[in-house]
Amino acid sequence: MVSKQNFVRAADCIWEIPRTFRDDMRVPARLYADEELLDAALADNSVPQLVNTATLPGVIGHAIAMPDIHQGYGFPIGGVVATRLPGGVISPGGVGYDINCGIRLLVSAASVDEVNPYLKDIASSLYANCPSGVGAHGHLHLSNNELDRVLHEGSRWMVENGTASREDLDHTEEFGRIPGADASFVSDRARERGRDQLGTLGAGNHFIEVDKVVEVYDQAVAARLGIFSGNVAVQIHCGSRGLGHQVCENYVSRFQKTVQDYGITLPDRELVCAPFDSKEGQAYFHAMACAANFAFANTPDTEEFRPGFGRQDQKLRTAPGVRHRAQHGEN
Amino acid sequence: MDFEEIEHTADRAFRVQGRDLSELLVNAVRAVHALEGIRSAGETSATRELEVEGIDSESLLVNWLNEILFLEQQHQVRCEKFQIRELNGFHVRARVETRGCPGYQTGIKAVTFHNLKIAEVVVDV
Repeated sequence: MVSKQNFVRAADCIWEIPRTFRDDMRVPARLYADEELLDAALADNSVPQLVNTATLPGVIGHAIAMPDIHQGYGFPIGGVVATRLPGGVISPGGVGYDINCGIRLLVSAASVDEVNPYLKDIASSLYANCPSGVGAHGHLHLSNNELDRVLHEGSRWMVENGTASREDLDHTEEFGRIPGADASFVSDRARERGRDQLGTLGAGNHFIEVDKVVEVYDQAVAARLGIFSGNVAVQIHCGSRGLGHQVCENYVSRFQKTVQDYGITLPDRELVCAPFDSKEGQAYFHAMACAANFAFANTPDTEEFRPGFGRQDQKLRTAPGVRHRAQHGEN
Repeated sequence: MDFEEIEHTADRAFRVQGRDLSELLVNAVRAVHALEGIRSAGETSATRELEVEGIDSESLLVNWLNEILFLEQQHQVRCEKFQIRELNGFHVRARVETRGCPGYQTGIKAVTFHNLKIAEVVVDV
């Protein structure tokens, strides 16, 4: 049971639970939040989940949670940990089910006034071209070879397929491709679930919306992104769909035995893991990278609704962004 | 009542009971169906064989429900009748009768281990 009294205020908007709070913690837990967000976090299971992530073998520094902390599965949503190499673990439950989900921001050069006459057409086009929901199928039906290319190449496949530009790649995290993908570690079931789902959104908190820029807080940064007050942008929240879910399911199930084999004791079964440099850890990493690349490639073809944004010579451009639900190697 | 929905902050959760593990597995499917709702039921019917295993009763239950979910969502069917043909430790073989089911009110993406606990109650009679 964690309460506000267990936190130490380390700095403005930085709260910590010391490693001594619980015997199995290997590092302190740290939450970036103001006091109001801290109180909100204590209302669900997210803080105990944050403490649990501090028990992962090989974890270094702090087990961290961002201000959007709320209850997840194993990890709290907004949770971030680093594990050392060699010897630290990789956790399919920690990465989560919707591998490499994230929000993509597309910027148009059109103003609200230019777009307004076309809003109905844009809405119709979105509904027609962006299928959504659990198990929703898209307009692309990939062969095995094509799916392999998507899993290995991510956003690069989109460039080859004509649904993205090289500039989009330059503005995508990891240039739209996580190295280390190996489709032989992705189950047939995951492939079956994902084969027809490129270009679709899931259910729950996935969305696509057309936004008006109401206020610009940093003019210099906005100018570099092509954003100005009164222009129109599109936000898309989606991820790796049924393929990513199945990869997570497969390895969370498989690692229930793996943790026993490696003598790892965990406070939450959703945190199952394996040493990153083990055969099992590498198998999951190769599959996770495939699912991440699938997510990079999974975006609606914006050419389908671009005409609604007025000028035919202006494309919707991808703004630089960072996605979540993945595990990366870093120096 | 063999199952009831319990509160969860963002997703759905349920409590389910059964006289033994076999009955628990079947009642858990009914609980999932109750959470999903059903938009319409088709006329076609087919029989399928399922085989699932786990390392303990909790993992068997999770794997079983995820297997059912996959079958139903990929083939757009609803599993209506179950015959547990073999339950050996944490390995189950079952025959399942399915009916066409094109849609659900609430799509369930996966069953997780979150807060999962299977408890046995023994009564002295």
